[in-house]
Amino acid sequence: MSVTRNRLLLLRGMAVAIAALGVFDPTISSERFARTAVAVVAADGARDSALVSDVHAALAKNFTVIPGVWPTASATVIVGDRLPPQVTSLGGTLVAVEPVHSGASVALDAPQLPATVPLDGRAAVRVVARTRGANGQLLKLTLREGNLVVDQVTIPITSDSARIPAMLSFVPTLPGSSVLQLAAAVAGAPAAKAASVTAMVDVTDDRWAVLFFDPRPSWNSTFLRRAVERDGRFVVTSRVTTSRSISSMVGTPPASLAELAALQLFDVVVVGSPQLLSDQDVVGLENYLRRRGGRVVLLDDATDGPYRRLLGTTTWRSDSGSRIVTLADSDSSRGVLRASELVWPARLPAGATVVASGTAAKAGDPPWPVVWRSPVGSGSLIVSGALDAWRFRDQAVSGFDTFWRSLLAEAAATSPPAIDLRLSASAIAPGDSVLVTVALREVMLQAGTRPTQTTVRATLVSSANQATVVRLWPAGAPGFFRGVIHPWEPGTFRLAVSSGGDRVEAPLLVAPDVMPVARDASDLLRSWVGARGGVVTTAAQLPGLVAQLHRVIGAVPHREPWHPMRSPWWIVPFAGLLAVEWWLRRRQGLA
Amino acid sequence: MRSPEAVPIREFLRRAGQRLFWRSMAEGAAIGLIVALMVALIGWPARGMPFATALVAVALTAAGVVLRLATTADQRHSAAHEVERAAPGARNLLITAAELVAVEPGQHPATSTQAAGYAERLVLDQAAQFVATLDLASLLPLRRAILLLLAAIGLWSAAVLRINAPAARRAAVVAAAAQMAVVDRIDVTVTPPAYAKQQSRSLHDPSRIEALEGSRLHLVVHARAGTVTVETLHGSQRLATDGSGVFTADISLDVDGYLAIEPSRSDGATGTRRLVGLSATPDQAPRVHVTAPGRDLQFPNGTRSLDLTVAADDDIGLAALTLRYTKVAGSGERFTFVDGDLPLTITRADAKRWTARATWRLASVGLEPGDMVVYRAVARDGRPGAPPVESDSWIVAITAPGGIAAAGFAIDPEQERYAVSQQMVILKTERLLAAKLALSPEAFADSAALIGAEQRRVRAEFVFMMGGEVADDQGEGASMTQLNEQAEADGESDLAAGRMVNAGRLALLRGIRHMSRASTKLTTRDVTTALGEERQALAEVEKAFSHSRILLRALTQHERLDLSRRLTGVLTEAASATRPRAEAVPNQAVLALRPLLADVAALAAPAALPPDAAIQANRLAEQALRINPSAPAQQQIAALLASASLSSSRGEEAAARRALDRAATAIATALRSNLQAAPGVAAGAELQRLMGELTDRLRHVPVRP
Repeated sequence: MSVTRNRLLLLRGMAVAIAALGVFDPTISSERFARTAVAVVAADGARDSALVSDVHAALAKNFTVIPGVWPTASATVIVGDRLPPQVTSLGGTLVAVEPVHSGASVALDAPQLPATVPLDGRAAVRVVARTRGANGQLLKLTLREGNLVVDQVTIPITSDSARIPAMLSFVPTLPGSSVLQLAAAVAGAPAAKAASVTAMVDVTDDRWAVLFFDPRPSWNSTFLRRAVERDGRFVVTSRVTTSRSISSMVGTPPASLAELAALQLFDVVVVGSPQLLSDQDVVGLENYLRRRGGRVVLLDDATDGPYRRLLGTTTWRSDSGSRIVTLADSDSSRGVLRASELVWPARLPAGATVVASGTAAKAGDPPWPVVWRSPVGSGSLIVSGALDAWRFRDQAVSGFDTFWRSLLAEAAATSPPAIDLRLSASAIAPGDSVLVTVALREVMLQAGTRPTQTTVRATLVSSANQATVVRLWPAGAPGFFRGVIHPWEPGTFRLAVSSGGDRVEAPLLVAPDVMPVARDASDLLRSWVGARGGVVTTAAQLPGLVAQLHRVIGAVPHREPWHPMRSPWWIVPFAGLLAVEWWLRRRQGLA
Repeated sequence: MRSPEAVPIREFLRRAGQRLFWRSMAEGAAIGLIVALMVALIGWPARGMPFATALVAVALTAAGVVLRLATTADQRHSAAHEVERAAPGARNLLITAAELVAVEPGQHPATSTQAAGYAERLVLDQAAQFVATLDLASLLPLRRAILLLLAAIGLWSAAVLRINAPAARRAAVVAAAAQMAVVDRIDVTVTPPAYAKQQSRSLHDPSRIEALEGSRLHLVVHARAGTVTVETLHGSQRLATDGSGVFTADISLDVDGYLAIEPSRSDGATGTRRLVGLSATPDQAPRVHVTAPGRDLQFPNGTRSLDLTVAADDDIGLAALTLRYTKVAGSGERFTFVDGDLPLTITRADAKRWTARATWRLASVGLEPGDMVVYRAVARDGRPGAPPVESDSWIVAITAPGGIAAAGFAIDPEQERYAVSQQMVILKTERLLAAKLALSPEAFADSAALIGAEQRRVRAEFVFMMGGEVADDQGEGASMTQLNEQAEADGESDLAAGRMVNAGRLALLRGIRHMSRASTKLTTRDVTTALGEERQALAEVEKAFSHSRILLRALTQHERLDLSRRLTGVLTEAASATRPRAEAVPNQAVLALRPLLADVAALAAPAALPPDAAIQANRLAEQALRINPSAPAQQQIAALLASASLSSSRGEEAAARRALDRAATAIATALRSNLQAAPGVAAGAELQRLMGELTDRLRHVPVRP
């Protein structure tokens, strides 16, 4: 009996206690973060879907997680190792979560190689390989032409996340298109971790037209001409004025440099003894530079003349016979010149760059820019102040021939063609798109001088000779056009662009096994996130992600009062206690 | 049971058990070998590892034996049951006897009674009689187990031999399958020329043979073919055969090249060629030097003795070393020359390095004042017909007053040509004068004579610079105003060309004359006068070079100028001229290597190598060697292509492709060294235009229309 009574008292007491607490309404204070909105965006949703789910789960408890771009979010978490396409719409502070790469892996940036290679040259294929988790191992780069390995290099990897520039060489064998495949692999790593890129180059046996124009015989020009004449990549035309109205000629050179029409045929014009050029010649040269985009090499003679106004500088320095100076570019890739009589500008004119410089006589002085280059309109002017370089042609110590051949080849190759056709990629997978850019030299360089009407036509021709018209649209300045092609059928194509009497072609390979260049943009991602005040973390550090988000958002925990007895749900236990107490009393006949 | 009746029973059962043991052993071994055979057939261990394969077989055989013995242990313990099973007529008699003999006496409960003992003896006695009639070999035959074992051994051996057969054997099998003629093996015996006295050596299936030039190559080709021909750079020849598949030929190794050995079937169908590179190492000529005294000598008389030392060496071996001299006597245009040999004492360090000594008493030659003797060492190696090699020649001159050694003997063209200057001659003369008191008259005379020789050498250089000998009567009185008419008449053409109007040249002539006088005075020990002449010679030489900095040999009076090359002519005939365009001379290496690389690329282009890839690769290897058989790069390329051919003929496509890749890389590397770098990626037209405009704005240049 007493037990039942005690139970009744306990139940009643608890109900009274709830009622009493409700009357008193106690307050409990605690520190909390405000629940903010955080967007989670993946650069490659398919590849990083698992990591996106993990991030979502890690944040859901503390934040309102919004999958996708949300411009007004307090923070955006980028999942992956590169920026998403909608980078400008990301809201709030950025935090990047990079996936953890297991084992050694390598990725290749797009290789740098010329679209056109002369048959009598060797093309450098420059590439940057990025390795991860392969410190101390060997990176093997292989260049294939078709099914054959034509070059390979092995480079030791010296850090866990390395960026390794490398250069391989392609030696053409026949004119026409060549498919090159560049593969990179870390020795011992599985094949799945290797990388490869495919490119197509056009091998041509075209020769560059070079005009030598000497108002009087010049040793410098003569020996330069002989060096170039011995190189099968050039066709040399020359005029050496030996006396008044008497010249020694090779080919059919123009009588003077005054007429642009006569100069337009040449990729490069080399002038010896330029101080004897007339005003008309200089005007003609400037027209050739600006309206043809031509390349002019002036073999300076340290003497004043009308030509000096092309140079953009009036103050000169010279050194004569004190010592033999070796002149080279920064990496001596063109070889070295030697000379003892030198002249160079006291200060390089604006826009000019050094081609080859020599060490100053006095230690600590800047090097002497003896051979330099300066843009003139779309053209380029190269000035050599190595007055007696022709005297030092011993191949054992001087690279006179190599230097000038390389420089003239470079100048000729960069001389704009009548139609400049460029593709954003030379090898793609079916269905991928290629951006086509066309520049018409004549329209582009003579814009504004007279109204121009031109027609440009582009067709994509398959190996089966089926032609598809490619639509080109004017793009920006006069003479520029753009278009996009989406070939679906695999095969080898040639994109032909014609305008007036000019025509140019570029090869395009469409093959299912062509891999897109997986550009490793983690540097860009880090820079972008850092610039927005964010941090980059990895999937392995997900437990700390919430704290990192709070830190970068700048969320401050605030003291928040809590009134537990204000919850209406208290009525349920209160009523329940009283009901049970009443039911017990009724059962025992007390009520 | 030790009763006498039990003995034959026990012996019979022991032999039966033993027989069962051996049968189980044989069966277990056979089972183990069959398992080993299956393991080998599925490729474990890897092919080409016969030792490992045998080890695995031994292990599996042992395992089989142990297992079989374990599973038949009961049979052996109850041998009587096995015999009863084979001989049912025993009707359990043997089993009963076996049980009785297995129990020790007194332990069997039945032996306790006499009747039981009788029954026991009766059983044993009858069992003994019964086993005497039995033939264990027919009851428990081993034949089947042994045959099984032998069959297992045979199968396993055949499989292992097949799997690990030598490459050439498998190539033969592959070729036989394709019914192609094939070269199985090439044995080459290289016999160096007899004079080299070197051992012959044998090579088997060589890819390259390097041997001394003139060696004889004896080829023995084992081939499954009707005929075999060998092709070299000089042509091809058919190998002799006795019809047993062995072909032989002898080839002389004279130059770098290759052997292309081609088998053919009787119907003319050719098989895969085998290419062997050849490197003929030339026999180097001996080198010989007179190491002491190693310089020209001047003596006042011919009674001196000369200690000579000679050193010689050769790459293979020296055959002879002698010292030869030529005595030159007389003067003017009457010279007599007498040749002779001087005996040498030769010390042979080995066959390749000899040294020799001699003490030469000049009196034996009979030299008079003004005479000279020219001597040199002569060495010869063993190569037949090889010309002897001579050392530098040295002179011993017996001085005579006013005598001058012949210039032609005094000048060493290679050494010390410019080592002694006129200034040095003066310096040495001054030092000699300073040391005169300390020297004996003889030593002073010798030293003066040596300086005189050096003075003549310096003079000879200037004479050489002037284009030849200078007549004594010219230049003595030479000046700008007084010319020797005779000499000038002789040199009219020089005069017309204006070459004599050159003060520098006249000064140089005077200098040479002073040098001649100085040399004469030094020979006659008049050193003080000689010093004066030397100084005057130096002054004239300095004057000559200050007057005209260009004293070329082309300006001497004895040479004519080619007026057609002096850009002279009639002014009124001057006109513009058009020269033909100079065509670049193609690089021969590029012309040869580029098609080779293209052909290798064409060979490797298909997804699967063509059936005649081996033949094509071999032809490309020959093509590579034909470019330059002596070049290491071409040798390497040929070796790689030959390796690709060999792999392809064996059906090993992956290995063939690897070799083709390496060959292509080697060709590309050789090509690269002969090609200029192509220009890099050019900036786009738009970027170039923008750069130009930016530059114009920076320079404040108004854009010209």
